[in-house]
Amino acid sequence: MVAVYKETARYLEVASHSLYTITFGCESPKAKILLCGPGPTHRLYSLAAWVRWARFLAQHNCIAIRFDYRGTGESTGKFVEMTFEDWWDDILQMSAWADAEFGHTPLVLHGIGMGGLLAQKAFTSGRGDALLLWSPSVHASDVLDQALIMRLSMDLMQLKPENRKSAQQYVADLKSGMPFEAEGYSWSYRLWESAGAIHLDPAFVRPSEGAEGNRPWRHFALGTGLVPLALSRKLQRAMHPGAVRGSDQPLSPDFNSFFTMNLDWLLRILAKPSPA
Amino acid sequence: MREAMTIEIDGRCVQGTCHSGASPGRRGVLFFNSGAQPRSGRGDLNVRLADAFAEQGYPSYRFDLPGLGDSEGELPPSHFAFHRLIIGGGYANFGVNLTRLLLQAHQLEDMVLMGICGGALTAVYAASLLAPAEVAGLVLLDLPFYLETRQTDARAASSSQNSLGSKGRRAAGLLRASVRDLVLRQSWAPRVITIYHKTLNRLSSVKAHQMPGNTNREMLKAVAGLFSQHMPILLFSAPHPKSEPPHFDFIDYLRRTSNGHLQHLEMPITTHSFVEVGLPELVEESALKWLSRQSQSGSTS
Repeated sequence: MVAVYKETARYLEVASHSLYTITFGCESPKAKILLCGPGPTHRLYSLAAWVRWARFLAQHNCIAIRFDYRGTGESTGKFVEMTFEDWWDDILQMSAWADAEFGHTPLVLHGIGMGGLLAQKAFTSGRGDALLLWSPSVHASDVLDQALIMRLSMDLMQLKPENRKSAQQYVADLKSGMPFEAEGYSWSYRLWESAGAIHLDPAFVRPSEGAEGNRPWRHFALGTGLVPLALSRKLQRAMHPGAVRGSDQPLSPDFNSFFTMNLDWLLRILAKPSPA
Repeated sequence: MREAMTIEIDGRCVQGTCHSGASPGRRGVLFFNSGAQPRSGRGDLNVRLADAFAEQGYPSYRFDLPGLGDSEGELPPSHFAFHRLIIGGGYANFGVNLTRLLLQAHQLEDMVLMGICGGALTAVYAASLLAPAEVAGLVLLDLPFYLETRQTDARAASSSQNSLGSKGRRAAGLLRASVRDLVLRQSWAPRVITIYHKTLNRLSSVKAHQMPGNTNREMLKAVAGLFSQHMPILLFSAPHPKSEPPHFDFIDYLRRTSNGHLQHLEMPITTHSFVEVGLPELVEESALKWLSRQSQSGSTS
């Protein structure tokens, strides 16, 4: 009953959790691209577009591997118990799996938002043969700040002024062990604390390209024309749980020219002598 | 336990997740995507619920509809067009095919169809096309009762194109603001404004007894058909915002026409997503109680 496709979904066991992964395969791969997705709230809006990019890569002879971080999406684990180190470790484990599964095909670490930040840390620690970043988060705490803002805006909608907390009060509650809820996730002090030490290395902060030794990297900034791949406050407000009707923004924009630009860069760097 | 599933329906590769417990019964639960969200739902609510149901013996399934999440397929160009598609039952046939495929492949007796908002609509339309023996019931969260209006579409289209229409509306807005400022400066303003608001509220109350013109009557007809087949439905709703004028009480309408087959639960403070503090637990507990009652009263799991 279950047909065998080039798109293979499976669970991989990582540190007592099961990570959900999909491999978008191809016949003669030039590279394997590990897609390190955004934080869970950004994933809600961007997943379909992210998967379209994975299919685009597979159609152009690049294996694409997407996965959900432990405690999020289809992967097992409780979000409230997670830290940024856990998610960084997920990228390291997925890189190791990709290398074992697909042999010596060059590995490109590719991240968006929070995934970009963590992919850069993995790259700098020696993983991957190349790095592709799409608007990486500069600080891990940015992810938490966005969640806190969503919490405060929901309080504004739902609670009387005397019942609302300030941002400082929420942080104080976190420190005393009380997670705050935002977008359906429980954000814990463990997660908050783990964010403190994780920042994008200065060389990667601005859109540009470079190399670490003979391992190239590129940072593309996602503009508003690339919503929902780009995180858009307007889209978040329109798709807010209190707003039933939705957005007047396009649902499935054509990103082929942006995809092609990225593919061209990948093919260019892959055409150079293999760094492995 | 979760299992990744990849199947083909209508020539498209559709990705999903199967949740099963230690002692799976023969009644499954099938979730449909809410709006354009992936199958996990906001805050991964659907994942949590599917795990909970599976633990209690109800194998649960979540598949991304074509074009959404991980599944192949094309989508309409805009969110409004997408909403119109769902509101009109555009995913119903897919829902029917998926349900039958899972019933057969996993040797289930029947399926409970479930969803939030757009997912609830898809569940209703799919159930209305399936045989009564195939569907054990529906669990619906915030079932929407209205059609997408053309006015909303036109406004969105013209505002994005900076057309004469949008310029006209801006001019009208400026004129309204000027008139409002002029009225507010008059000594008789407070009394007139009070009478104006009282009249508006009275009109809203009168209108609230009539089904509005943009009611999704096709969907209500489908629900009526399900009630006539004695289909049990558990309906969760979020409270009506106090800031909005009174509206036609669709829940009461369904209750009166359900022949006792509707159980309605209005959740305390929550938004359309049901992920506010304490709500996932409440939905989980209530849905499990309802599933258990259905199993005891009719075909067993």
